[in-house]
Amino acid sequence: MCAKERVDEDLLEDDDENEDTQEGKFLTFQLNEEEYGIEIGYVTEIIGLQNINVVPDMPHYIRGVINLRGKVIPVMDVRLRFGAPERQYDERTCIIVINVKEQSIGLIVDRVSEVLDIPASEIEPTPELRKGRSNRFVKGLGKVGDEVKMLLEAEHMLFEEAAEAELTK
Amino acid sequence: MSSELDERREMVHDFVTESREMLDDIEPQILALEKHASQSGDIDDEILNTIFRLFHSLKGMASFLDLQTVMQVTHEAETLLDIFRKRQMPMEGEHVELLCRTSDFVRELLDVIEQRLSDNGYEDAAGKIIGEIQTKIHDGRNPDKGVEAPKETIVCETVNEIAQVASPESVVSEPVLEFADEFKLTITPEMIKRFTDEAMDTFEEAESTLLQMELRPNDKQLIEQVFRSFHSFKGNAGFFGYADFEKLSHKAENLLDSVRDGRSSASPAIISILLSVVDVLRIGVHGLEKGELVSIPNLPQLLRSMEEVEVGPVEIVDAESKIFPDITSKELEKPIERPVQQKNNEGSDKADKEDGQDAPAGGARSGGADKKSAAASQMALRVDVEKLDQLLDLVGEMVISVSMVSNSPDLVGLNLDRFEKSIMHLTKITRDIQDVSMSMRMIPLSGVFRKMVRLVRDVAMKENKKVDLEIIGEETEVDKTIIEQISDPLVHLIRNAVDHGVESPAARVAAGKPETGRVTLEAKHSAGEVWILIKDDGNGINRDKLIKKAIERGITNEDAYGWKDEDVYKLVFEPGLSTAAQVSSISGRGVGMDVVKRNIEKLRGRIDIRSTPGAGTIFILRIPLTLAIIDGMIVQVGDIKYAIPITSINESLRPAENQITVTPEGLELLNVRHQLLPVIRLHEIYKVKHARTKLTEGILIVVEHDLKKYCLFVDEMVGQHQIVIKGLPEYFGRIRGVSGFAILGDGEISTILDIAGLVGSMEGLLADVRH
Repeated sequence: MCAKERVDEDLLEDDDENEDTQEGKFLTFQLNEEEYGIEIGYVTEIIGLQNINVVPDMPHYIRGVINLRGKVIPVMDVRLRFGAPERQYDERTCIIVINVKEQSIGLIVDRVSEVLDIPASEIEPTPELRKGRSNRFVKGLGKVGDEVKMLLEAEHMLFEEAAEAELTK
Repeated sequence: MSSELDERREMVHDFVTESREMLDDIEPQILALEKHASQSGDIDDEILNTIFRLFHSLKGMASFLDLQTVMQVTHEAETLLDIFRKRQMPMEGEHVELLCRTSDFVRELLDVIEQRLSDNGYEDAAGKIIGEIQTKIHDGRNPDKGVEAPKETIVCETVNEIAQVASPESVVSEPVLEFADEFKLTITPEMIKRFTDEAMDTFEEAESTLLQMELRPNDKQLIEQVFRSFHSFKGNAGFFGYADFEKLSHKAENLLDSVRDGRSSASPAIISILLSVVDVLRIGVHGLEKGELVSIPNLPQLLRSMEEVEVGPVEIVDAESKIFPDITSKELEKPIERPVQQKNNEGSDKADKEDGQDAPAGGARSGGADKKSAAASQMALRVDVEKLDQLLDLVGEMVISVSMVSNSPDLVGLNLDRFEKSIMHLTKITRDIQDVSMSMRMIPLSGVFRKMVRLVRDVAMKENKKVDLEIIGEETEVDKTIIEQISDPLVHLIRNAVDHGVESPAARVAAGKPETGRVTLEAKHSAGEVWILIKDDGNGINRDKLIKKAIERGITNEDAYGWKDEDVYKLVFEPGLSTAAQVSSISGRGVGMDVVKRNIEKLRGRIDIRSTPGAGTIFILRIPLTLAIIDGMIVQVGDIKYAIPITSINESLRPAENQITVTPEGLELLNVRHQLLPVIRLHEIYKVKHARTKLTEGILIVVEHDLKKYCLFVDEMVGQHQIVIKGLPEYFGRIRGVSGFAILGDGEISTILDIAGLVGSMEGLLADVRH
């Protein structure tokens, strides 16, 4: 009886997904012509662009807050976070709501692509080309066929002071 | 297997929660016991028994969960208490100390148990404290040390009585104690509730039967029926130890008995007096329901008039012997709070009189201690706090949704009479739900207040001072968040009151005050706010010394000498002054005072300080009752909507050119009725876009903080709204001048300005412009 309850709890917590099946799954999205991926475990939902309320005294990459069904959630423009040039939002612009360390935050990306299986064997560490300019936001490079997806380190992206990492040329 | 573990976890969790509450109760009781003992030289049995019961319940619950260490420790505590109860040893400070430490130790154990579900591994630590208690017990049992105290106290007697009834052969003191233990269980609020419910039914029945009796005075069945009603009530009352109820219903039984036997007739006089007995009992039981004391003020008169009505002698002994077996057999089945105070049978008149005098005195004595248990006698349900928070969140969202529907732009221009009506209804219900769900989070302050009893004692001991703590209005209910935030400030303020406020006994005597200082902790509601007052009758704040200290620390300058008292006293909250506190006898009140200020501000509250030199200091914490929903004025600056709590706004105006003065430093001042108020341009502080630059084109909102006024310059006012406060997302950390967000009726989010914070961040700019 109790065992059953436990399963139910798990189901609730993980949005009908079991821990096992989430491993190696990444939500991929486009940003400034590059493909990125983020572990599906972090992702709560994907919503279209909505009215963003500006908040004073924020770093420029925090665009403000949105009202997500009564919850106030900060949104970050990932382009600006990566130091890429600002770009007009369009109908394909999306907000990926992720939950890291119990905190929800929305990531504004150019467009969301798909959910991909990237086994650990296909992930390579990020080569360190330039000393001191390591790509702190990228924790690995996932190979999918001919393409390469940059897999993001969600925690660093949210919580590390931005020394304006240059991912893009 | 895991389900068993889960089950145990749940049980242990309940145990820990309950036990903590009990310990919270035990502590003040121990101190009350000590106080009483030091004042009257004897131990208050009532309080002693309360402590005994609490420890005993703890032991009982622990044994159920097989927590051996807890059992052993609580058992020893019980044994020690029993020695005091039997007056085998006078109670001294060290015993109180030991009992306090025992309670602390059990608390520690609870923490361990909560995590590991067992108390294994703490036997050594427990052994130590048990050893200490046992030494004391040994001292107590050794007659050559302690004074041979009179053993024949009431409690002893009754304990023995019960024990005798239960097992006639066990009369020796040791086994008697063991035996008595099993009966000495607490009466739970549920039991009292059941008793009062039952009693009310019984009264109703008795009343209607009595009225029928008036019509058919010779109907034996009716008499029997009333007799049964009184008898069953008497049994229950006796079982709970409500002596007055018992006595009165017993008397009524006697009266009925004489009617039954034909010694008197069911005259209207008898019936009306029986009816009035029912009334009196009903009032008494009703009082019990509300947590009042069980005593019938005019019992002796009532009993006397009953006797007058009654004709012929009464065979009390007979009646008693009939009833006795019934009660005692029930006693064996159910737990009892107080052993039945069955007096000896000879001369009921005398006994009655004695009790008539005793009862009120006993009642007054136990009043304070009983208050809480009585307050708890309402039926209550334990609910996870998280669920309450969730509920409140949802209600908040509902409030927003309702206003989103009613203000929907789709409805503009439509004529919707019925819809409007429905929406109004919906709005009303929503508001009601909101009120109810908010009230569910209200908790009495008693828990927090009681902790202060111990604190005052400890600090006073350390400082060699004599201080009484008076607690008023502990039943005042406040939001759970307030309870969480208020504890630390109270600790600081109370500690300061004892440490710096109250003078040493010698100094007090020299100043013509009583040797024992008095600290008062009071809570009350006042116009949408909760006021918590911390009052001492010490030396007051020395204004000049305080200013001198502040100047020394560079907090202020000589101007301060010209400030109003309120402003000067506010200096005590300056963190720089905190270390200065100990140096002199000024009630320097620095220790942790900024913590006090910060916590109270977090609750959007204010602190008023009043002090009279030589007579004492009062700190008044004024905290708004509701925290989640406030009235706010929405203003717009560029793209951003800000909400300003209505409570901080004095007025708003569009200034005329001649009202504005600009200092050479560029500070703008607004002349409002001859007061020059500094202007704060929100767009400049936050460096955001703005629509208007000229002051005369926008709106100035006059806000007040710490008795100082400022003007906020905004583009325009949007309107006044009820806003649901959402805290800042953790991700943002702190934003200066912002206390949170509010979701508006149209779903947009506005930033709630925190005037205190905003002004604080401006302070440098405005330092030279004091009003």
